[in-house]
Amino acid sequence: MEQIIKKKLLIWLLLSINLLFAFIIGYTIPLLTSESSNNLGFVMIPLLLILNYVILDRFHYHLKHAKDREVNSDAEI
Amino acid sequence: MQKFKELMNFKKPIIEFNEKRYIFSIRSLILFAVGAPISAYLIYLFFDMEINYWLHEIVVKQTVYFLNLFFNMNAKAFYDPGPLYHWQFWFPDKPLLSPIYFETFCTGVQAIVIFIGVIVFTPHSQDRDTKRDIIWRKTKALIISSIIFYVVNIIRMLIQIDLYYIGYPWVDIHFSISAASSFIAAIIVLLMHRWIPEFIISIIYIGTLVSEPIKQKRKETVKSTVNDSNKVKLKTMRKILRMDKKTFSQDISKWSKDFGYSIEGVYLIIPSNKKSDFIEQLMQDKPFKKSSLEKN
Repeated sequence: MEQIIKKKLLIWLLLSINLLFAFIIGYTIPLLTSESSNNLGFVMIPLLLILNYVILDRFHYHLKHAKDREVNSDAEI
Repeated sequence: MQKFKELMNFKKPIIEFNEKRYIFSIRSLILFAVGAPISAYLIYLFFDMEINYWLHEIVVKQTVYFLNLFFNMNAKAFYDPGPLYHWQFWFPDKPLLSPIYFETFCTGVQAIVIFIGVIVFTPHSQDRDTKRDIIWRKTKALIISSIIFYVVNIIRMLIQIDLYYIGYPWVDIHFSISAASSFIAAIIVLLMHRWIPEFIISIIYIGTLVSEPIKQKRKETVKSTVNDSNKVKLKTMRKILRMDKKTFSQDISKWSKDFGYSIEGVYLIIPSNKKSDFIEQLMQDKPFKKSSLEKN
């Protein structure tokens, strides 16, 4: 149980960092003076989406393992 | 093509490392060798385009911020779009110092894209348990290596610009410190091995795949020689047993006695009654293992 809470907290933290990353991108663009400043978003937002996918994939991985462990412990009983 | 298929007609090697099994498909290894350098070059070209000069601005402004914070030199990031350079470091307190022009190479993105290419195209093991969390491990390696390169690059520029500011000639400090800072690549490779051992193991795997058909051919030659003449050259046996010259010269007489063979000059002599046993031992994946001797 403690393990699951730790993993949940980790996923929550990673998603929060990703949101913070999105905020920093949005906050930075108006501060830039280059002509190409808007392109920062075009490059970074796809990266953000990929990161989001990776975090969800990790979440799915933890869930699957928790289920596998439950099945194994049931079998042992 | 037929000959190539015949050569590759052997059992795929399995490398075991940290209780995990690594087996790679030929396709993924070719993709790794071709895809990693090409993708790294293409991503670099993408970042070298004028539409991505926002990266120059971010790096220049962060460097200027830290220059003023640590060295209090009142440096400024100056925007002057030209055909080659858009950004430069400018020092209003020292008007005699010429400004430093900034280009894509100064962002350190070339080192980052090399590792992006390598990490993305590193082959996955065909073993289910080994490849289970590969996306997570690759992402971790990508993010951490990119952050380390970015930070080290900023530190490199801080050191160089401070030395320039206090009077060192730019030509003397620019290339030497840039080259010295590339040591970080070795650290990243070590860190990468921690998260994605597939990178180094796949290189070893390529070596094994290339050498395996040669070894198989050597075994076939020895087999036919022994069938014809009951003897085989010691040099060939050394290669089959994978021994270095020193160990081989020390151990060969004991080894041959243990298996019931004898040595005459540069040849190993196999008695007629041991011929079939010799061939059986020879054709095994790990030929002439001591355990097989104990069985006999």
